[in-house]
Amino acid sequence: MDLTSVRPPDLAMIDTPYRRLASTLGGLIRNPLSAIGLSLVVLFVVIAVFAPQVAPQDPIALDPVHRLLPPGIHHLFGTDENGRDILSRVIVGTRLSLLGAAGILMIGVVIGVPIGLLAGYAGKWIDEILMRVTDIFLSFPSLVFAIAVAATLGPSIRNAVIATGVVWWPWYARLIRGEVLKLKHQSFVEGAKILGAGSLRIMFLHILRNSLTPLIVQVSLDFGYAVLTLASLSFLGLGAQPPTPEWGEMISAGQSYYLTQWWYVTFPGLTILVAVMAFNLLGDGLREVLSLGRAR
Amino acid sequence: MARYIARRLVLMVIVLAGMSVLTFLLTHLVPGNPAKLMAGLHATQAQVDVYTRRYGLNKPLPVQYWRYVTGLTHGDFGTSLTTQRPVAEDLKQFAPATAELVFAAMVLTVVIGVPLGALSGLFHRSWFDHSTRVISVAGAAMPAFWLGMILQVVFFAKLGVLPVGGQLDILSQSPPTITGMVVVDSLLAGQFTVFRDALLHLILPAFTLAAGGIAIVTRMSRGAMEDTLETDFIRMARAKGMPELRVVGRHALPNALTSTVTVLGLQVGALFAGTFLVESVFTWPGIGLYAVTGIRDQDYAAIMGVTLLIAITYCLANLVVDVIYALMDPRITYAGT
Repeated sequence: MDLTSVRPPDLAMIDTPYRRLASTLGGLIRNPLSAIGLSLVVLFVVIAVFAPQVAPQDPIALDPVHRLLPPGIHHLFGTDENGRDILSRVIVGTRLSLLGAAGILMIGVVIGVPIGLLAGYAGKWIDEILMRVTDIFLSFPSLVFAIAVAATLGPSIRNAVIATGVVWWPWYARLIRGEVLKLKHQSFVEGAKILGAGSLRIMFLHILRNSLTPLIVQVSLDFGYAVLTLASLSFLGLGAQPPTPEWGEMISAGQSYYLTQWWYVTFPGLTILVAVMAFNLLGDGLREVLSLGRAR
Repeated sequence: MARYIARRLVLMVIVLAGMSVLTFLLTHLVPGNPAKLMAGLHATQAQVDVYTRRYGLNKPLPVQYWRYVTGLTHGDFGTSLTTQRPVAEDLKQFAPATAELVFAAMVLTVVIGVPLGALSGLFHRSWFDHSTRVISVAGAAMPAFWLGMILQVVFFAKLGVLPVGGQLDILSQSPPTITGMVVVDSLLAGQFTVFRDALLHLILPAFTLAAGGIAIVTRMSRGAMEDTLETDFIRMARAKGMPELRVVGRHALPNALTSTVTVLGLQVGALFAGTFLVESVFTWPGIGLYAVTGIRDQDYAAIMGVTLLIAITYCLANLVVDVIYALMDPRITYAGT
């Protein structure tokens, strides 16, 4: 049987009861830190979706008369060397940063989950080989490896996302493999086997469905770091290219100005900091709520 | 113990071989013809052919890989397009500055992170604990390159107390090269004004590089301290009337520290990755800056050389950390692993 040609089922297709969602949300709101994280994440997502409507000014059009203005009533975050409103650029950049981070994690999951499932379920030499390959990927510091891959593919936001995703998958492979090993010999899997379910059906339907919670927790914990990694690559010139507004790229562009025009890099950087913090707080909260829910 | 180390070394050789395959494949994904890249923009076909033959680019991939690996084992990392010198020579020149920076950041990570976390765990749920947690949450989310810029704005542009970048002031004479690390060399040569200058230049980049690690180590050692204080042997020590200072210093702290040591090994990787960002903000003449310059010039040999050097160092660091951990915690047996 050709195992590689089968794609994992769409995660959204697996039905989760509304009650469980509601209780998760309730748990998140009860903890003040994760409530802050959740509301900030919602705010960032809303800004990303309605960016063109929310941005007070054109993020790309040049306006040399108003270049390098300090923050004021007309430009809350000041303007850059081309007279563009930094606030508007930060707002429009939100979309790219969040989509990019989601892309990274999606690539990581799509590569890592099947590998982890296969390694854990097949065991023996397949497991041995797949895990050694995983070890090799993990023996590079991830940002260094992502930089090397992105530099080879050539500088663009798309390549930066691909490079980071390709570096990210081993973590998910390991996580899922561990879950498979835990679930493999449980009675519901044995039962499905006796009923004649095929290996693929058992792996992708029965086992994967029961490993979703730790996967969701890990992905939400990683989201902030994906945003940070993407901004770092853009800062090094490997991500978004000017004049596209992106947080890391804006800081990179500000390198010749920030010592005298402090606002140029301060606000895009603060935005990255707040966004990453928001996702981390939400991830921490989610981990607490979901793992408590499991233990109960 | 010797068997454990031997086993780890064998595994490391496998991992290193795998790494060389990955970097080899990467260099062969390079868009365009590498021979054309080496020959230059305006090279004739004949010149391109010379490079193709010299580097065996017309041979099958496995043959090329074999050439590449035997080269690597002889310290041949290729030729840098930017400096027109062997990459190995460049690495030798730039590595000491990075080593100095990473070492300083590591010291800061431990010296700030461990006590902060331990105290935080000791005074659980106090105002000190809460403020430490806020700092560590923010520190973990901080883009290192941005933190460096903000520190430059505050301490150089506004306050004027620290230099903006580089290893030494233009007016300072570099000390004679012994280790290549300016701070160490100036001290060895007895040039104390240069030593002071070098140290001042080191403060901001080292702190910037350490910030993320400080956050993580603080968090880890806080949790470890908190867990240790709730164990039975601590309760026992307290019950028999041992002074609190001795309970914490002699019993709780050493036990809490063992779990923090493993994080430090992983931190080495993060620190090296951070040098790419921090060195380019502070124009620190290390391998990170060398690689970032390589990115701009599409100098793939330089980028891969730095990547491999960092990966090898990272592997070795983790081996050392695991051995230290095994030595520190007598419960770990070496047979099974």
